[in-house]
Amino acid sequence: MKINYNQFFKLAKDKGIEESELKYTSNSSFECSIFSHEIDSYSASSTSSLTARGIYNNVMGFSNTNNINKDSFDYLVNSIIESSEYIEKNDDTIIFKGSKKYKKVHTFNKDLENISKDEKIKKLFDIENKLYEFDSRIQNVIVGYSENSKESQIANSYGLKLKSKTNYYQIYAQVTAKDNDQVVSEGDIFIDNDFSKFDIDVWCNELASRAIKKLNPIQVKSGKYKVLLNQDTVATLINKLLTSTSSEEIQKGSSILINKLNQQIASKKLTVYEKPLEKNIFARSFDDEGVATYNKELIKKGVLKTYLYNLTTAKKDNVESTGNGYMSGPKIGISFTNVIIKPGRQSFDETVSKIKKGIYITEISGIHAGLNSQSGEFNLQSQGYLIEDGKITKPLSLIVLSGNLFEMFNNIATICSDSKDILDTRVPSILIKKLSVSGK
Amino acid sequence: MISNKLALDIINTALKTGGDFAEIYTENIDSTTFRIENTKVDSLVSPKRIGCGIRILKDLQSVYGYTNDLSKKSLLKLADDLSKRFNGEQKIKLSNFKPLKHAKQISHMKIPFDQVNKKEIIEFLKDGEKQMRDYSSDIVRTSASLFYEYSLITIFNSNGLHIDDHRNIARISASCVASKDNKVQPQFVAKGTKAGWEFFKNEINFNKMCHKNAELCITMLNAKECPSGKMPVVIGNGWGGVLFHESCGHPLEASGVSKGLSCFAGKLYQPIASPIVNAYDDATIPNAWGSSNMDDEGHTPHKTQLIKNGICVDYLTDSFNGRRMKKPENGASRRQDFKYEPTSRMSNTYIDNGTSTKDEIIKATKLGLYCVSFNGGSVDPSTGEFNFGASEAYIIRDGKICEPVRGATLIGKGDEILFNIDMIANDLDLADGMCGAASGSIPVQVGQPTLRIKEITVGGAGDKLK
Repeated sequence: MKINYNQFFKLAKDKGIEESELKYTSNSSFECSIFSHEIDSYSASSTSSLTARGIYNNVMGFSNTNNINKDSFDYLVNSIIESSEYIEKNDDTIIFKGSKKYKKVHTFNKDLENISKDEKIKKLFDIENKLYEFDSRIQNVIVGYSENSKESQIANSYGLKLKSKTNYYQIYAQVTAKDNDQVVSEGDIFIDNDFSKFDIDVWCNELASRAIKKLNPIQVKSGKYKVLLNQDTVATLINKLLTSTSSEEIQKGSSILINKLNQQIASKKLTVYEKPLEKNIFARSFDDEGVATYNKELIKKGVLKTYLYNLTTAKKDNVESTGNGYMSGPKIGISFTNVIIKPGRQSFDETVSKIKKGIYITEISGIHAGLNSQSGEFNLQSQGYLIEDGKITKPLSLIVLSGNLFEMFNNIATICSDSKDILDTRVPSILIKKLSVSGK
Repeated sequence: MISNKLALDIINTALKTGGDFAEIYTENIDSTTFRIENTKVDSLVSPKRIGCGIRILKDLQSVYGYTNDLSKKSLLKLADDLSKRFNGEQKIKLSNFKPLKHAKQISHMKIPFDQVNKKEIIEFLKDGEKQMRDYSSDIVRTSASLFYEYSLITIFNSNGLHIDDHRNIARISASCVASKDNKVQPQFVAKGTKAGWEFFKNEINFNKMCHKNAELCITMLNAKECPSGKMPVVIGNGWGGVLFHESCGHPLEASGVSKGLSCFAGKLYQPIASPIVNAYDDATIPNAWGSSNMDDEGHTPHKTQLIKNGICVDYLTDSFNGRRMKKPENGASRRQDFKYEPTSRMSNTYIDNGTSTKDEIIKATKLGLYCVSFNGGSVDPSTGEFNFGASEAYIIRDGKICEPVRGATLIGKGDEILFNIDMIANDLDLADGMCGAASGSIPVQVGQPTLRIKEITVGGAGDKLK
């Protein structure tokens, strides 16, 4: 769809909105899932929306619609004016003139669209067969595919005009396995935009074998243990910890990392980067305010190197935006992408071999209820395995892992060398000196 | 939004490859959100959304598509594209719809929100927010919000149904963050309704709600960490119902049961709970947060008994999953919006009153935990394993409520936990929340009377319970 941005800015200006911004987004998707060797569900979509911001009476107004027609511009401008009448917050009245330079990212793969839907659906049947064939104890298999393509344009009355185009697919599967009347379940997601990168044999074998290994779990005795966190668990927890580096949380007094810039906040073994320009589907050339992103070190050997800023919070602290301004509802909040923990030197197997008694955690759930990002406290339902005399032994379930993110990342015994991509986060397994585990 | 003629064309296009059912779901939504943060109006937004979802069923297969381009060209193309997923000949051709029905309104607004002066709403929220600010100097951040939404839903289907539903929903919320000695504690409270402004202004006491939220925030800031291990737990009424919602409500939804992917599949008319447990899902409670005038396929909402004296007597069933189970729908089909295919979901789900009192239950507990309120939880319906996190909890010692503790997470298995309920009080209450599953995030109520679970695993960073 062709949007006449200049017509919008003129209309806004005529009504007293001197500075304004308009964003157009369009999405299309298709999803398919199979169950019992048949297509169970199939869906397809196309949607679009317009979002506008503008400064009126010294406050930033906002409006949004997905009903795009010849009256949309009038509606958006009038909504900005109407909302501005009541808004009192006036420290975020910044429409960005533009960065000097933007690094290109390549997040769209045209080849994905050239592969037929039938070929993609056939892959699902192949996956289903391989999973069932792996072991007779595998009871139920659900396999699904989804594909998403998004295009967005952002322009403002200063002449800034930026575009981005992204596509990706996800293959997911969940299996249940049963033995001795006990049921376990295991799932996995593969995400990319290059269809050839999906290795069906490796992926299916790993998923099915993890499900079988989980069978006949026990509960462990409650106590404090050496805990080896797998990459999935580390990815979730580091992303939660990093929300406290938001300058907005700092400035509003709700972050524990207040006054901790350039101070030791974690173990010296921990170095963390944010790399929005990394070559993957999650890369971003600019944030939602149009500020160019750049790769940065967040934590260096345990020392906090920077807070994350958007234009408003940067102005308050008299610094430059770090390109982390992302929409949070009608406001620009703080977010980040492509978090990377620098791997250590010791392999996973070597790390396990040195543990006389410990717990290997492979899954955590109930994050939204059991983890408090602001205080760092967590009490999370978990699954994993016992480690005994240097070997991974019995599967565990119905245990609760408890601790505090800030204390935990200060108590790192080993960072392994086995980095893995978990969506937009690349992390290795990490051994923590001591954590509470509740069970029996 | 869509004429009868166009709807007929869409349905017949959708069915040209042998589908046995087709449905068009359109919605037109106007919502408004006020937000106050740290004494100032932070935002006031009124987005508009429209959309259409088209669904085709053939035996045990479904296809679904959605768009917000409601032009004739776009919708007919969508129906045509979706129909191509099937190979067959047209079996059903509809010639007209039955006369338009209007879903019977079970909720009523005495004072519609759009007739209230915005300044009045702003001052109301600011008064509540001030209660939290004034409570303690350790409270460093406060916010209060009001959200209301009007929507018009229209459904056409190949059974000739043409029905519309005027919906309204609203929710008020307050949150604060306390900080002291390198500790940070957030606290959140919310109340929702399908009634009008009169509910917030006259029926609940928002200032008192905010005051209590701040009081709890400070209590939890200073509380020590919850002990861990297996112990008796008394679960408070209202929000305590998240226990049943996570551990049993989800596994009783046909979406899992129909495929054998629930721990309660195949358990109809078998005991799944202790004999003192009776549980319901009731979408017909007037003005309640989880209620509906019609479900999201146009069916009449029901009050469904799920458990009777400990026996599983029903599942929450939508028409599609009901095909696999050979069981009719019972008004339980819901979806977040047009982007989602509907499926069986909960509405207002609760364990019914028992015969004890709350005091009797506390007195009967020598050493355990009293969980008053929860942040939420999650479940894997295929294994029945669930968790939920307490936002307010206290130790019980020798039949008395003692010191507060924070961070209690309760875990267990849905097919075991209900057998461990040994006392149920008579103080049933319901609380509002949002439930996320395959058909999106929807408003629900959870509820129960105060009850006791004789033993459950509690996770906490504290030491063993003494």
